[in-house]
Amino acid sequence: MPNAATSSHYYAADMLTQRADVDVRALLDRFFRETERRAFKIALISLKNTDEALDAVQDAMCNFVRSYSGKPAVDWPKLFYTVLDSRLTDWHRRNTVRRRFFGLLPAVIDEGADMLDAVADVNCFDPSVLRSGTETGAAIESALQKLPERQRQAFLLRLWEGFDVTQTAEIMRCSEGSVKTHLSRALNALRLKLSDHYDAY
Amino acid sequence: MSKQKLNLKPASDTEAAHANTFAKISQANIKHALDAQAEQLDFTVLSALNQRRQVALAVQGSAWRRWFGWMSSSKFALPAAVACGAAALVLTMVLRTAQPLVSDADAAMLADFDGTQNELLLDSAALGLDDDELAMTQELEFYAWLDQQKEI
Repeated sequence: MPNAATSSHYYAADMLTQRADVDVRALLDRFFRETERRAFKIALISLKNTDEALDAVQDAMCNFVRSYSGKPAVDWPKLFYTVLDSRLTDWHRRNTVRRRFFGLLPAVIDEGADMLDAVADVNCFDPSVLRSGTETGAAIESALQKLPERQRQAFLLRLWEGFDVTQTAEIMRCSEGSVKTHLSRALNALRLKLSDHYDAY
Repeated sequence: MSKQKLNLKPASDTEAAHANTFAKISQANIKHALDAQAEQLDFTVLSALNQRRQVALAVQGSAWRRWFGWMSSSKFALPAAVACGAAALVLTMVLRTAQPLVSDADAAMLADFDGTQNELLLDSAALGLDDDELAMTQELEFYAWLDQQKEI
């Protein structure tokens, strides 16, 4: 699966060879097809809810089409992830405000629900998860969910999407130094979490 | 502490494999693992993504593509350009004629003045003359004739 960096080269070459009557819709369709799965996984890791993640990806796509589809295709990956990052950040801000507001109200307890289902499992890794490379991805994904939002975004944009430090800083609208700090902390936290899991096993 | 435990000799080959997996968290490992996760999305999720992609592309189709597509068609491009040009011309003419610079009363007063009076007004204003002095300047020919009569 090509990441954002390879996609940039791909679309750059495509833009050089395209004719004047190029169908932008077809280009957009191909770009979204190559990007949407990773974008969904990033949104899912961040929001921890499938429907919310799907909505976030759709909003990012629509806003990207409205605002940036006229830009050169070589810039599309960076611009799309900028829109998605903004959408995820907004969701977390609204959620924080919502929790502060509704935290003042008494919680509604469902008598039929098992209270243990709502308790976070600190040792959530199943040892059997480690028995294949794919399941290692699930373990990493689970560990990523426990990272702070900015560290997680820096990690995913740098190491998964393949953006360089400058591009990541532009997407996250922060300095390059902040990106390096977030990434360093994310790597340390992940090593610790995954090593702890191994020790528990 | 955890790293020290990782450095301990593994009890079995399986544990050794696990140790290697997590002791070497490299970029390639992470990218490969996450790619595998993204490739194994549920069918319902893929279907939902497909639907939402079509919604986004419909936004693109309904916005500038529809507009430029309509404009670029040979059937409507020329009439649209002619209509825009005519509208711009009419608008320019309306704006230039709709707002006169002076009112009707001011225009009538200005029409009563001839060039000499306008010059006199300008001169009197520049010299700071009052109304009586201004009246004298308007009858210069009479005073010149009167002076000639006195000399005779």
